[in-house]
Amino acid sequence: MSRGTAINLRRNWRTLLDKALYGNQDISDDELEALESAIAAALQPVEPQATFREGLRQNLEVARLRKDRGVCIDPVCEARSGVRLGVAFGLLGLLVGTLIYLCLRSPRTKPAESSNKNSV
Amino acid sequence: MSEQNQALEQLDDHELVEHSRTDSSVFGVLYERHVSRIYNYVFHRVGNVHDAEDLTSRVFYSAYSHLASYREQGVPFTAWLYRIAHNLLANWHRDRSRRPVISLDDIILSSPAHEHPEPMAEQHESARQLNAAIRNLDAERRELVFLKATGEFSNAEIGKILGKSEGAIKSLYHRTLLALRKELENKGFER
Repeated sequence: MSRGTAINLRRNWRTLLDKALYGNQDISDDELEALESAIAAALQPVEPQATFREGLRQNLEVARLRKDRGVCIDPVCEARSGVRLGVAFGLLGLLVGTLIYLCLRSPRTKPAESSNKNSV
Repeated sequence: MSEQNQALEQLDDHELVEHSRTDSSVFGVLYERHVSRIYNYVFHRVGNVHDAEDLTSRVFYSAYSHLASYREQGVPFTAWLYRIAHNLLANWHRDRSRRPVISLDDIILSSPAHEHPEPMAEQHESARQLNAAIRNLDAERRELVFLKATGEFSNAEIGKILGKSEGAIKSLYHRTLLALRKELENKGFER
């Protein structure tokens, strides 16, 4: 079943369910207006407390100053920089390991190479 | 207030966002302009001051962190802020559903009296019943009712906030109003 078909089925099902629950009635413009104004009145605006508002403003200002100095303020950003640091150290370790391996391996291969040259 | 701030106050949101790309302190003006409406929106979704303050803080931290990635795409800056709040609220509801849930009614009733006493005291019976009916809606419908009630957004803009098409919003709103009317009728309210 395609995603579009599934969405349509779900929508139709929901519409049917709503009709069963609330009846197949329509709502007139007057009723709509009355209900909407009642909702607007019921959902009275709530203001944040002044201390919270001022505190958050100051915290954002601190975050801004930290960001301007190149310090991460976002937890996700901090996590990302941790991953980057880990990858960088990993690569560095790999590089050092490879160099050490090559250094230790090279004295053994040299005689073989020279003997080959002599034979030619 | 400084002259610079007064000049900034005259600018619209998009102009302020453009300014804030070069001068990050301009974000403070955007914050002052929108903090109340975002808090109001979050408060009506979570029903208590503590979580409303926590989530409002997160909305503005997130907005500030991602301001550079904000692009004007035919929707107001406020819709972008509401979208961030919507995503954070969705996560909050999901996390909360994994833990024992206390009903929103209980939270509001048990809130200390000093938390917004004026609107609480002034609510008439019908408004309280309507509030209860709105709280009984599922999270998506409650959010839709609130966004419509603000009168700030078109159906298309609300669609962008909630991640739905304009048609879906229109239809969902219609069904939601029917549900609310039915609920009020059941509680004995006349049409």
